[in-house]
Amino acid sequence: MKPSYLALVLLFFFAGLAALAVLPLAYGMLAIIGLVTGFIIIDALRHGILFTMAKRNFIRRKGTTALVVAGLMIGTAIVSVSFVVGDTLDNMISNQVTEGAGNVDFVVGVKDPEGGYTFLNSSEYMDLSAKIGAIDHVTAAIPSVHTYLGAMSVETGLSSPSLSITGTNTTAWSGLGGWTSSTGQKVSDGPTASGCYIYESTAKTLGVTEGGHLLLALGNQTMVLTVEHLVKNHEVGQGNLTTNVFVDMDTLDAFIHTNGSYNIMFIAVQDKPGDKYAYNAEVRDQIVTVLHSYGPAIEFKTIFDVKAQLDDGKKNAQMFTQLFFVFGSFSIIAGVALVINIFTMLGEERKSEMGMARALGMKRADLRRLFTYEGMLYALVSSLVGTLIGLGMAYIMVFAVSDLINFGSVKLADSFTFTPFSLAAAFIIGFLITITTVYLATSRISNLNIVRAVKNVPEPPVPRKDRRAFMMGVLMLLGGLCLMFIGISFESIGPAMGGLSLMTLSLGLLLRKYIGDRIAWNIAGWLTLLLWMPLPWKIFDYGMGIEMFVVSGLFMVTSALIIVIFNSDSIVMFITKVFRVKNGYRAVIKTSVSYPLRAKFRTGLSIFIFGLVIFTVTVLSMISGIINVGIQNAITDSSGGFDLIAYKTTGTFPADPWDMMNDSAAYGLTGYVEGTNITKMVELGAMPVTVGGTTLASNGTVSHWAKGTTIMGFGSDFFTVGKFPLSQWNHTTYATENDVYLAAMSDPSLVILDGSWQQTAFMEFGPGGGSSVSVAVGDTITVKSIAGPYENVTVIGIMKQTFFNGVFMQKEHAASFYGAAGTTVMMIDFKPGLDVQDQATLLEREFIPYGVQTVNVNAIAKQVTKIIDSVFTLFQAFLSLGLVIGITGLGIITIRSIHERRLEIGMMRAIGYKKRMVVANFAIESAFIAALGIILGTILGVIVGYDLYQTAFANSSFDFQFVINWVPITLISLGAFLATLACVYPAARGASKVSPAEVLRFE
Amino acid sequence: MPIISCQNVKKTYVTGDIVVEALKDITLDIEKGEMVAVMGPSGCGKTTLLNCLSGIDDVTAGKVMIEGTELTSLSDDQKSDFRAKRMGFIFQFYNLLPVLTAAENVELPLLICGEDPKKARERAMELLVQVGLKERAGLRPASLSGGERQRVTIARALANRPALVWADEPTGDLDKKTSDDVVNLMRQLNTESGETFVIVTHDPEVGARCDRIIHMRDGEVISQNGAVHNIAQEIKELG
Repeated sequence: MKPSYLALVLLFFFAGLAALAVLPLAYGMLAIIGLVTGFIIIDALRHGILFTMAKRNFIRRKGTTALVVAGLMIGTAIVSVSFVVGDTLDNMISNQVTEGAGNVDFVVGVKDPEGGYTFLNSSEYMDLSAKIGAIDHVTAAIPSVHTYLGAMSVETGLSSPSLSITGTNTTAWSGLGGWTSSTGQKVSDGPTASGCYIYESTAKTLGVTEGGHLLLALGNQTMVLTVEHLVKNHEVGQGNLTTNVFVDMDTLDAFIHTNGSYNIMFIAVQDKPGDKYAYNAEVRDQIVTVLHSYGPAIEFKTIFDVKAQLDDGKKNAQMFTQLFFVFGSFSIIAGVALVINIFTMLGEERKSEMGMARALGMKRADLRRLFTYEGMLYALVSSLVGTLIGLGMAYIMVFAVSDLINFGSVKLADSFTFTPFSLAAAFIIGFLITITTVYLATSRISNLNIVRAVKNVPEPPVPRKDRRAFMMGVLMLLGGLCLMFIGISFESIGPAMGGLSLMTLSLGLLLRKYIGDRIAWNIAGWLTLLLWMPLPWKIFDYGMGIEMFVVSGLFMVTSALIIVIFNSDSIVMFITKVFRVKNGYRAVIKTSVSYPLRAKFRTGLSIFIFGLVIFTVTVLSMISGIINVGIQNAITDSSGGFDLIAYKTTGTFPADPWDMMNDSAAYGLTGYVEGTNITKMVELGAMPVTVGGTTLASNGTVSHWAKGTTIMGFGSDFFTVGKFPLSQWNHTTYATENDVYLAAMSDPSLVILDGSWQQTAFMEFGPGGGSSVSVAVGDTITVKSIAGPYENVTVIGIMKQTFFNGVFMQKEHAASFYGAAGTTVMMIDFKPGLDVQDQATLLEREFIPYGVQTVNVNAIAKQVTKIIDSVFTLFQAFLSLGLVIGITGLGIITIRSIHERRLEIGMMRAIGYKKRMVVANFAIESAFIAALGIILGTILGVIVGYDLYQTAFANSSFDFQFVINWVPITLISLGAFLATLACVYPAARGASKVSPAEVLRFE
Repeated sequence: MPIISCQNVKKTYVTGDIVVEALKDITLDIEKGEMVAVMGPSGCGKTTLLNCLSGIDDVTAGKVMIEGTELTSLSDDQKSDFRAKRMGFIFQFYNLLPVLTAAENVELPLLICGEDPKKARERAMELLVQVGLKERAGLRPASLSGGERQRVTIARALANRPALVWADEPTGDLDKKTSDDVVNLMRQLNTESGETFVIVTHDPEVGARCDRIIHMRDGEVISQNGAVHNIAQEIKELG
């Protein structure tokens, strides 16, 4: 290396280091790319003729260039989509949390067992307020009142059985920065004694407008308030504490009789310019210390932490983005395969001229330079175009998701955004993927034999005793071994299985010397494939994440492909025997199947692209099918065959609710629901309890556990009128499910649990997946009532349903021992022909004083299934981008094949091939490659789907069934197949027009 | 009746403003069973004549009759069918399909004609035996020598028992010994099976083995019964 050149390299190297040190990572990387590009340009200027050749090659065939750029940019577009969707989710969560919370940073209170917050004397809260208010950076610590009440719009009649109500006033809330109206205006004054502020989304649900009236109900007591403002504030707590309505504190106090006591406290922390939540961590620690100082006497807890909620939300957004990456990575890998294919073919196309250049004295490094310059042009253009197209695609996808999936009250589309950082990162990743792949692909091309290149003679097959191939095998074996040991050391399945697979694949290179290519690669392919098949034993018993989906897909498709490629003769024989066509098309079938299988490398890559994408589509379709069927079964199991599940959230019914509906006037009801419209009704008593037990681990360790749940008291109608199948019971002791229920009915020490007690984790996958059952039939558990008494009971059955969580026992004992008297849950069947949703609304309105909420089982099933379908459809659509890569690749291959085989086409035409036979020949070639990829991908996808079902679904309490969702698989496969034919048809038609006389004469 | 009869055949190539008359008003007959060489200097129109007579190229004017069928009046598909059933081709660079074995290459024209695969394979093997390549039937062209490839091409040309075989510089890529072998083989097949051979060649020794020579120059037939020495003389004169 010349000193000036070395100085230039060092200059750029240190400039890159400086950029990384000074700038944020993405911008630093962008700067490095700028430097690399600059370096290549300077190098190019020093090799002017090479750069000129590269430029001219780049624009040599404009159609091909466009096709290549289109293929190359897809990987970048996928990365760009993932980042922009992540930005948008981030933005939505930030908006939702920060806007909704206003100035509230923390909420503290004492949780009661029924899910509400315990009221304490004002002195206790004032003491807490003083202590927290004294913490540095805390600007306000305001005690407040929070409760749930039934509500109805006086004007529209629309109602809600349980709205979250917060009592406050101007003095209290001013310390928290007041409210923000739905129009974005600041509202500093609190609601008047006869007014309320209502969260804009709740107002929309109830049809309430400013100036309208809202009726609040508690038992038989009601009050009507004027809606003074629709406000954005709502998210001042997690889950139950999300506020729907703000009411004057004294008004609420008088209505729910709190007698001046409080049950929550809002805390605001000073904002730091540039970082709103800079002091939150420090304040949080001090708040926790203060809360702990009250000891067990008052169990104050942090109910809401805006920063934690924001972080959690962002973490969830990242998970979603990660899913896009995981699924998108298949398409990115497919894109890499396409880049290799494209440049290998460009190399083959220019082989003769490169050979000539080498003969004239051009070095191998010069050839690499030539391709690197050209690759850089491709990388720059395609990464730029890909980033922008990804941005557009993300916009479309965000709008699609926004309509399909409900993100609470917020529409995702309203939060669409992107950061320059994300676009820069997408550009960088796309550029690096392209340029690296191009460089590696061209290294192979530049190692050409000058004589063979000049004469354009094909490269001979790699001899069996080729030392380089053997050494590559040794390196691969050692690399795989290292990777496997790393995986074993860290108990990580990815490197362990990946390393082992590399080792089995290396056998192809190592053994070919002794037993020939076909047998060696068959051994390598079959062994590798076997590793990833569902086996009765686990090779590495480690947990695995979603990324294993990519790793397994990669190795399975690769090994299956090796098997196909190295058994091509048998495939050709099989196909020509099976497809008994007439009129000379047998010859067409023979040549069109033979060509792709001889060009192993390019065909292999094309099949790989199709196989990989269809594999993912198949697995996704299967998961979606299994989940949908499982959900439908679960809903059927949970509903017990009833139309509607209803439950009260407050108060006590004075009588049997069905009797109340039959005689509404006697019970002061309006009569919204006709009792005679109900054909069946089963009632359960319920009360919160704590359940504890012990678990014996396989290593002999005993661990104790406890969890809050509900005691459910049932009568005989629960299993005679309703139908709640069991997933587990002792078949020796009890012949039928009914016997189990009867046993529990007659003996209060015997209980039945809902299916969630044997829940299996969902996202675990492949070997090593699955988790153990927490509680099994025959176990003894301890159930403690909220009043204190406890008892040991034996589990004699576990239900399939997971909707009603709890311990099911004899009704009378549940009432006497746990206080689960009266009716809490109602399961209702209506007369045929009635609209269940209408009846549900009427029921909620009828029982507003009891905060009755309803669950329309079938509507939920439909909604959940629709959401799941939508999400999976979206991912499949995203994945299908990979198919665009495959189709583009095949288009390029066809164009190249036609160019390469003009002479052969001429000969075929001379000996009697008709024009349409030539068209058919090329169309069948592409169709054959696409079909092989589709078949491989589908078979492997079904195998992995089945494995997934066995490990993650089959043992779940949900009634999952193994189903193959053929419709989307067939639609996508058929679409890809037809698109392939459509894409190659023009080129094939062009081939048929080749004049035999001309090509035989001049080529 | 002659197997090939062409009357006033013209072929003109137009490239931009340049008009090249490749064939100028050619009229000739070739009898069934004849082995005819077409000779002449490079660019005189030999290959063009072969292409036009065999129907792989269209004539600009004139009429070509093969076995009484007017080739120039057939559609492209009909011409393809006619070539598949009644003609065989031998090219200088063999033009075998590299992805097919020798036997598969030979049976290809039969399959195009819709022959039963079993019978096609039998016939291919029969021809490979005839050209002395029985043992090489399962090899692909890349594994065969030049002479062997040309023998496979000859076998392929004869697969459909064609009425006539066109050969364009069949020995152009072969050494002398192999070239002799190939010409001997063609002569033998011509004598034994009675197929008509039309051979475009530069090689006087190939011409010498034919029944007669058609001499061409500048797109015209200058002699239809020429002898080898005339051509050699002409080449000498042209410098």
